[in-house]
Amino acid sequence: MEFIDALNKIFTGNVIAFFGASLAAILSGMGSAKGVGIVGEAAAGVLSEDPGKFGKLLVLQALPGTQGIYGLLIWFMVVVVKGNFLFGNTVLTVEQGWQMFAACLPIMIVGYFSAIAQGRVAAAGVQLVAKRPEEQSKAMVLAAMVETYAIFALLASFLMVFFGVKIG
Amino acid sequence: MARIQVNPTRMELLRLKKRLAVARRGHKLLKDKRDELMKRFLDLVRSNRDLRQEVETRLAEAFREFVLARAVLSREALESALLMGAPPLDLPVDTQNIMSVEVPVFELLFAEYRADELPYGMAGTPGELDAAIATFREILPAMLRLAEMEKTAQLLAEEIEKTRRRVNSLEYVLIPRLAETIRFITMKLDENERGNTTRLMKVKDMMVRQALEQARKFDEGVAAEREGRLA
Amino acid sequence: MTERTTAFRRPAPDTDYAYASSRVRALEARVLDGARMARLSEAQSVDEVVRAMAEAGYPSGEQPEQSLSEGLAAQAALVRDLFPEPGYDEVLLLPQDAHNLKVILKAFLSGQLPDGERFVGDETSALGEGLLAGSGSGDVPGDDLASLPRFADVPTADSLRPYALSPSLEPFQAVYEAVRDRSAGRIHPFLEAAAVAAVRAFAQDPVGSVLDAAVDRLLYDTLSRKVAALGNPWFRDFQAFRVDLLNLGVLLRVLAMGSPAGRLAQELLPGGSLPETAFLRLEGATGEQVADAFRATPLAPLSALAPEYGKPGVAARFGRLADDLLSARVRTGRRVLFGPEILLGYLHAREMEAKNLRLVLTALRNGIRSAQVRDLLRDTTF
Repeated sequence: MEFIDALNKIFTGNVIAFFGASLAAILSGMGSAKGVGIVGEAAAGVLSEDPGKFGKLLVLQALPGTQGIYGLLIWFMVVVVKGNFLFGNTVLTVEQGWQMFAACLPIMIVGYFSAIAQGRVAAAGVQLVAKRPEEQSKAMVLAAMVETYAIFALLASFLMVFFGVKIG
Repeated sequence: MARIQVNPTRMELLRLKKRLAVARRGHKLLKDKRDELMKRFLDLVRSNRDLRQEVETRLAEAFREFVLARAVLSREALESALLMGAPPLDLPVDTQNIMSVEVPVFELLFAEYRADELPYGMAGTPGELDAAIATFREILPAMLRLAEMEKTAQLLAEEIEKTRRRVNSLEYVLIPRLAETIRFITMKLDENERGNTTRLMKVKDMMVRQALEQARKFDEGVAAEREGRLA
Repeated sequence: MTERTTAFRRPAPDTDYAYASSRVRALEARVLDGARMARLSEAQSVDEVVRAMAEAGYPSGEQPEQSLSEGLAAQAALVRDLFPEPGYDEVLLLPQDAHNLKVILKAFLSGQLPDGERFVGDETSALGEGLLAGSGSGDVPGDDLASLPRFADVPTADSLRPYALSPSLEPFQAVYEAVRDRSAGRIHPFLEAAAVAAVRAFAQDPVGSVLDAAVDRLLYDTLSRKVAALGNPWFRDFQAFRVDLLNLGVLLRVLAMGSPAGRLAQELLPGGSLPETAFLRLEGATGEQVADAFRATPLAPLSALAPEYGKPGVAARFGRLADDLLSARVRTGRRVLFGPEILLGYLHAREMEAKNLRLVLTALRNGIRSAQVRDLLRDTTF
């Protein structure tokens, strides 16, 4: 029984909620970094042949960065706004902690994968712009389509964090 | 027409007449030779022209294919494909005598080409090359034959020209000159003859006159004697 | 033989190719596409072609043909440097090395034929004796260069350099010296094995094609193994298809020449998607039979030319069609976002473009009608 006690001591509601918030920031951040990285490499390839396209390519590179922001937003919601861990001393039950964790899942997972997928579409857009600079807006629309699902995930996480978890 | 500077003697005349006879016979022979050479030459030129036409059309065709092959290959690829040429061939050259003209005869001693004996592999070369190379190969004997014919024609032409010059010089220089000299000597001799006759006639005249004088003198002596006796 | 058991490597993730692929896509914009090429085929002067070449990124120079090969070599070098994973260099450069080896061997072996005497069966010839007796330099024959007999009267390396391709995996000088000195283990094992195989084959039948074919067979065998080891399925299929096209060409050429039995087997290349027996079966077949035999394969459009192969101009059409079939494969491969397919496809496009430019230049210089040139222009729209 000592082991279970120790476990209960470690995995308090607060710790579980922190885990959820951190993973939301970590995974969507990683996804964004990877996506932006892919587009950045692709853009660098084009720029080494045609430096004049820098402005157009920079916009495309920024697109997969939003997921990281969404992840950070959810982190902020959990840690600062809803939990008020920084300025108050809210104590969550284990159940509430798990609720927080579950609420973070959408942006955690969708953020990671959608950022990479968006990075690939944006990189394809970079290659499109390399050949037809006038089609930059279309390339952006294509990449922005992926954003929809990141926003859905953000919405799901946001609503759950705010209204799903009842504290106090 | 200038004549030859000779002593107009009967000996010389005889010699010249003999030379004239030889020249006339030579002239006739050379004329026959020239005509025969001309005949041969014309035959040769005709077949030469046909062969040349054939060789040229086939070469042009082969070059068209070759140019296309070159167009799709890089210089290095083409040159190395042809780096190892055909197997070496022997070409013994003999001579043949046409109307005392020595003309070359090539003995076309090719080792039979195997159709597949290419100097290059097929993986690195386009198919256009095959036809061109095959034509170049097939055409080689014809080209050698053409070379042989053209050299023969050239040698024959030279000989014809030489013979023609000889015939002309006999006909227009030597023979007229000899004839002229002979006529001159004959005239000279005739003139001498006539001079002699005149001299003889003159001597005879003088001798007759002398005889008459003597006869007259004798007659006078006889008359005087007779008068003296009478007187 | 060399590296029979090449380990199959896990290919790099496609995102490793993000930079390279995008850079190549940017470069592709400069390739002279079909429409521009068609206009260029109407060019009236070499200057027009030279201007178009400058637009396409070729260096300017006195000789358009020279700058053409220089530009092509530069593009190839650039692309080779862009590959983020190893192995592609070797596959792309090995054919250049094989070319150099052929040059060296041809030059060395031409010198072995003094005054038309063929050394086969000639007991006094060093090469013939060494090879046919099965022992070079008195040693037990092996597969390395040391097993070859000495070459006599070899030409200098400098006299051969104009025929050599650069760059290559092994410097020309190194290959030259290794073959001349018959020192084993100094050059790529493929080159060493190819040199030995080629000299042996040549000793049996001293014809240039036998020498080339021996090197090429080993080259394509090595290539198909190395390409498979790279782990890119498209490239593997592309290479196999390329071999199929070459093999069909070999079959038709052998049939057109009426070569004796056995020649086909010598010239056919390994590593195709169709087995060599598919071609060997057709030894001595008619054109119609060949066309029938490949009706159900991707080679169908090409084999349709078989009945008229040998007529003037058909060989050139065959070449164009074969290139276009390859280009079609490249187009399907290039649908990926990132990957070696894009780089390899670009190389292919540039090769086709260089062929087109060479065609146009040759036509201009030799007064070939532009209609005929247009018929032979390779598809460069990707």
